[in-house]
Amino acid sequence: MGMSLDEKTVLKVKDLDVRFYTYAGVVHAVSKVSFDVYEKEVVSLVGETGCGKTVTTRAITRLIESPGRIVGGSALFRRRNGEVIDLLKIPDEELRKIRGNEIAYVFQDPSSALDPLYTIGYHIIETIKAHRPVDKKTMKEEAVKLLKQVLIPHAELRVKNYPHELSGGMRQRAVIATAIANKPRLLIADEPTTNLDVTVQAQILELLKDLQKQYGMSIILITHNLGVVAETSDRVYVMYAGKVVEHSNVFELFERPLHPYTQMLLKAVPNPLKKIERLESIPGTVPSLINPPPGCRFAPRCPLAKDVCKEKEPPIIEVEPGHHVACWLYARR
Amino acid sequence: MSETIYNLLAKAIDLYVKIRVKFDPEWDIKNSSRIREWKLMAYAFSRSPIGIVGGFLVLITAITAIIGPSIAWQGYWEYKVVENPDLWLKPPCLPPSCSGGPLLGTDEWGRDVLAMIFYGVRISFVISLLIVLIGAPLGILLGLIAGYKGGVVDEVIMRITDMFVAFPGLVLAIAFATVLPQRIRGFLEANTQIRDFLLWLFGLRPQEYGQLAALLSVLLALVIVWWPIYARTVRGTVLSVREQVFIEAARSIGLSTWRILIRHILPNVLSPIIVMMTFDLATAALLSASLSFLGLGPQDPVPELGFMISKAGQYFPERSWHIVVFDGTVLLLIAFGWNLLGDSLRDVLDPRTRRAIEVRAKAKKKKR
Repeated sequence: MGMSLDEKTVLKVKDLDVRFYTYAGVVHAVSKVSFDVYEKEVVSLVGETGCGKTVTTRAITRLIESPGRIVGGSALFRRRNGEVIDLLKIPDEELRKIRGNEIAYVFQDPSSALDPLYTIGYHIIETIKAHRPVDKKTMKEEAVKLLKQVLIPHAELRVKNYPHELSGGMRQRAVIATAIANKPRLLIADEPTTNLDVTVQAQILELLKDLQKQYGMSIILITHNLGVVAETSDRVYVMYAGKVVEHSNVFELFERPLHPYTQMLLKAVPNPLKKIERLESIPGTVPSLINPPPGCRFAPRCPLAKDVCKEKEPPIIEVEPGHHVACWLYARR
Repeated sequence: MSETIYNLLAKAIDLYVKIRVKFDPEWDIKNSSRIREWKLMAYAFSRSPIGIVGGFLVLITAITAIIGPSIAWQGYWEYKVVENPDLWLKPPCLPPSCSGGPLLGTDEWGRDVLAMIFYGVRISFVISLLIVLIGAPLGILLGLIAGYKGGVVDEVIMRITDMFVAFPGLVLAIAFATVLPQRIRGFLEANTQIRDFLLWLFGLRPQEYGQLAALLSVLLALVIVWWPIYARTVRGTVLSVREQVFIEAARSIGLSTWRILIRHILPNVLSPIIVMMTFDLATAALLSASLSFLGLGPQDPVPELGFMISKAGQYFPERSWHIVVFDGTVLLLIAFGWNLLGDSLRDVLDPRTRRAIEVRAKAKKKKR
């Protein structure tokens, strides 16, 4: 069946294809995306809004709602007991046992990720109860312990608070506490700091890194903030218009970006040491994913585009060990 | 007046909290914000004259319904007119101009109209409650499933709902009234425990189980035309609630569909439904009475309000105006009470208007 994974790999997504069948046409939101997550590492998915980062991670546990559909690909996942399964093929009931237990999510907006009618303690207890047969008292103690772990002061009191009684940063901590309640092997953090102010952002990132070390879990971090990537990640996947265009370890990527898109993206980050007249930007707009351009999807905006770029899809080339790029510039002809 | 009512309600809340604390010593601390909210609801309710009048009427209806059959001084099965022809359709005897006679007059069997009203209120109250308490949950359940599942399930459930909405309730009730009673009768004869329980519920004698069958067929006909409105309303609200991130979060932690529906979606759609149910209690009472008025419900001797008005029609207005007026007024007050109560509940259960009431009250205090 090909259901084998390297020793150190937690998740291996291959050729994932997600389409949305809308009134206007079929949106190819994610096309042939492949990526790996190894044990105890932080992997970043970077890209601008609408490039398919979120859809990719939602598709891993099939949280895609109609009219979206996962059309193809596989997502091999190594469970706690060592068993390797394809998340896209197992029955719903099986998948439910993995969600929130072995794969957990932290959503972008902490204020709407919590049900306003229940206390934060209830949210944590509910997560535990869904997967582990523990008695009520232990669950309550665990909830307090988890809140302490995510550095919420006066955890014993906070456990009884409703979401509206907490600040944004606190809420995100509570969401994280819920996510780690069952010690997941993989945590998917979908722009966890976007709605928070800068000082709180740093705290939350610090917290995620600490928890990752403590629990030995892997993290997929979705973000469009390159500063956050540099700060936290081990490896980076750059996505553009539903495709992975470049991936490598974080140092390589910032030192020697290969894909023109990555290069321009890095140039667009303002340097605080230089006085600048205008912010750099990438000219043009993201192509419509209903009829994506036949060749490289970045070709229409790429200053280095050649004829071949507009006709044929670029192959993925390993330029240096561990540094892959999907661009004709590096193809040996 | 509103002060006393608020104190009364606050005391009731405190009592409930005390009971909960007996079982769980920290319950009041854990739920302090909930208790505060309840008190605010009580406050908002006590500030609304409409709500007080409605609550009062409903309370009287409920009390009459509960104790009515046991305090009625005449059985509805006693045909007094057989022994004493003078009692035939006696006019009301209201003080101060008259004394000694039956207060609201008698009907064509010589029965005291007031005593019959006590039985009638019980029947009307119980049947409206049953219609709403069976019909609403059925509709809520289907609406939840349709709204949450979407796709084919939604389509199938909602098209069936449309069919039932399109079906005229009256015609269905007539069809049921001709076909069902015999079958229900057979069922009641076979299941004596259910029969006795239902007879007790409606305040009827065991001999009247044939009439009970007619009453149940009215109930069934109304339940069947009742649930679709709930299914539609709930589905609409679910469609917006299920898009909230906390529902996706609930799915991402691996909760079952059932648990998400009951624990996270239902409580978030419930308050408009409660208001709707209150209004519907009035409509159900009126509709069941009108079906009986048309002769589709129970027959003699069961003193159903609608049926009594219908019988009085024969001698109207010369000899029986009092039956029509008094029974009609009772029906009106029942419906009026539920409607007023529903109106104020809508304000009280909606957190936004509730806050507005609070703010207004504070502003008034300052002015003084």
